[in-house]
Amino acid sequence: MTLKEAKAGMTVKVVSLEHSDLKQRLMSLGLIKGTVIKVLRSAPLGDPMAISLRAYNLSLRLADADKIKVEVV
Amino acid sequence: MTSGDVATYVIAAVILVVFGIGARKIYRNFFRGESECCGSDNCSSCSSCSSGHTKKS
Amino acid sequence: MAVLAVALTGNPNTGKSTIFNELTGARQKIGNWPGVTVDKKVGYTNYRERAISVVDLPGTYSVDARSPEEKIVLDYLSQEKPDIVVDVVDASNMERNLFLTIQLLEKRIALILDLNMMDEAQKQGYKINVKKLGEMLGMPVVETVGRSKQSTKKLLDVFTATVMSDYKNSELIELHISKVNDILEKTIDKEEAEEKIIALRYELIDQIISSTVVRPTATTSVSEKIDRVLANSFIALPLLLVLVYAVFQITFTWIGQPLADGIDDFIGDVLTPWASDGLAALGVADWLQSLVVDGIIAGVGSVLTFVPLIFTLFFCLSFLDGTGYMARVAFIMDPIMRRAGLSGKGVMPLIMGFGCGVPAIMGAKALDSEKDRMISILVTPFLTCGAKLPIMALFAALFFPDNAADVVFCMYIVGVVMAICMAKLLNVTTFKDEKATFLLELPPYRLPAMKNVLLETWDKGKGYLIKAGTIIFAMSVLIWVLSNYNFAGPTDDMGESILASLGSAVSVLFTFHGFANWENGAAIITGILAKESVVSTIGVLYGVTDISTAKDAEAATENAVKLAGSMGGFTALSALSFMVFSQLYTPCITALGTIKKETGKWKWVAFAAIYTFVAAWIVSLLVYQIGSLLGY
Repeated sequence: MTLKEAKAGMTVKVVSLEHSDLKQRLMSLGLIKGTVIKVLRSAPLGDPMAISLRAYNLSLRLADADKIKVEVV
Repeated sequence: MTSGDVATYVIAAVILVVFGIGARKIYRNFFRGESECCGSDNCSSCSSCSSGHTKKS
Repeated sequence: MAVLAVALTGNPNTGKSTIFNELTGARQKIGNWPGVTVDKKVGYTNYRERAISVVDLPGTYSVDARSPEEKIVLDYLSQEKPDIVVDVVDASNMERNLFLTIQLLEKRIALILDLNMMDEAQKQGYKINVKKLGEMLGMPVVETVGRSKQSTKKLLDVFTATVMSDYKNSELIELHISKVNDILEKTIDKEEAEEKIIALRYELIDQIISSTVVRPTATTSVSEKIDRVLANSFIALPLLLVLVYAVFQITFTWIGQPLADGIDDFIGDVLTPWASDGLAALGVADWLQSLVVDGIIAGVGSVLTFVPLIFTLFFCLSFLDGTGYMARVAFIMDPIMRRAGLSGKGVMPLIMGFGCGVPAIMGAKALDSEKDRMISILVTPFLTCGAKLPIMALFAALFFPDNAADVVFCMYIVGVVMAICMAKLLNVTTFKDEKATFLLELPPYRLPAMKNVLLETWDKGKGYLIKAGTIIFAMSVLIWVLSNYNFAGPTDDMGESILASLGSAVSVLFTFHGFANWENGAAIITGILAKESVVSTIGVLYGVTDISTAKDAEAATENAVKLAGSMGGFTALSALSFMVFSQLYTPCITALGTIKKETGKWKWVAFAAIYTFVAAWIVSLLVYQIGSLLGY
């Protein structure tokens, strides 16, 4: 499934990243294959979502999260 | 001249000077986009206030 | 000895700026990196008889030259070759922070690693083997707590004692670099190569971290607990409104207003009589007496009364910003902003707009696309900046004494709503549809250092004071002259002065707004030079002395009567209409000048000036006409 589909509270691991403008930036920020992500929440209106990875918190839009394939851990 | 005249001239001169400072500020603010907080560290609105060159040479 | 050149680099949110402030104190200048609109911060200090210059490079997550900031950092470090480069790292967030470190090491830039915010890391339970870290990386490592003087001294000791050429990359790093070069040679596709290298870097980081850092057991951090409340789906928005409203109550009802009343009383009951008597006793000419008392003191005084409000408001905003809550605001507001055609990241510059439009306009450069930037710049003027606050406070106090704070709050809402609507409109009409990105770090909540908050409050608020002492002073003198003279010489009846003619010409535009008289027309004209001038002009022209409110009901009524007095004078409804107009119309010349600087084109300045005037004219007209129809 994609990160977009992951629900709050879930812990997932990155499987792959689809190609996009943001891909390299996301990777530089630590979102690479094998990275463990904990989904914190989505904003009140559903978008964007907040995730926790590598000791910090990041918020990104659902549209971008949809390009990240993950599997549940 | 009476002392009243002297006082008048002095005060008027001071006012004129401060007026000048204010007018210059208006000019600077408009034509250069500087804003009152220039020169402090929390102001992001100064691009051209002053540029401290850090070159070693 | 030559000046020691130090450069500070590192991720955003690492306390780098606090360190910079502690090192350089007041001796800093902000300029511009040539060719781009990114702030260049340079400061100076002395230690052990060495002069030291410190450059605070923009915070970046990496140095890939993908953004202007990254380019600046890379260029500066490789070309200027400062004597000492400090990589400031958040000790409780090392993994991501080290990415930049590794990149810099790959480029063979010698670094000192500054593990900052050690107090927080320790509180969270991190245990870091600093010595081993230094060995693995091949660089000196310093532990600091940003705000402490001891840490600053420690850093200065390191700066003056270290000779960077003594250090070279460790074996581990050299091995990494050769692997990187390997990939670069063997992989044909550049992107694929880049991605492999990034993965390699994190492998190295994982290796280093696992050998040197003991992580605390994963309990829910305090920040996370707070976020569960402040950022949760249901209550985040209402809570935001409540917080904003609370800020208003603090500013207007609890703290700011009572202080404002105090100043007002002082000016009215103490300063004015003292000045009049004093000048009369000195035998100063009558016209000068009038200039000083009716012109300068009335004009500048009316603006000074609002100083406490401004400072209180800035204090609240600074405090909130220091806690990290503002990032949550961007997070919460993103979808709303996007529906309006802006990015959630644009929230922060716009929030600055509640203090002063100028930094808000410049803050727009942080936005990713041209379209985002332009729209943000063009709608910023609709917000209630600090200078417009006196206008709202004055009229609200005089015409809506029982709900002054609420009315002012409404005016802020009006500004926000207009900004959103116009953004949407601009989005649809003038600008092509482009995509914008949104990636935002949510830093841990911190209790900001009171020293920093106060300093920031002072920095932002003192601009208001300086403006009062200079621009408003000049404006008040000018208005006094223009209102007491006409081309035939001095005139007793202000209604025949030059200002009156100018004002009447303008007031024709407002025939259906309920406030068409020359005094208001004049106020509107002066408001383009500085928004506070609207109040000072009204103060001078109507002879309104005791500006503040609840204390003296009699004086308030007297003033309301004065304002209502002249032909076309104010009623509660027309006051409201006037407030709306003042809120929305042409921004002050400083803001216009900033727009010119940020966009580079006069056409945008003209557009901004005209379209805001038109929008203000229409909305305030609607307020008045609809209000009249409703029977107010």
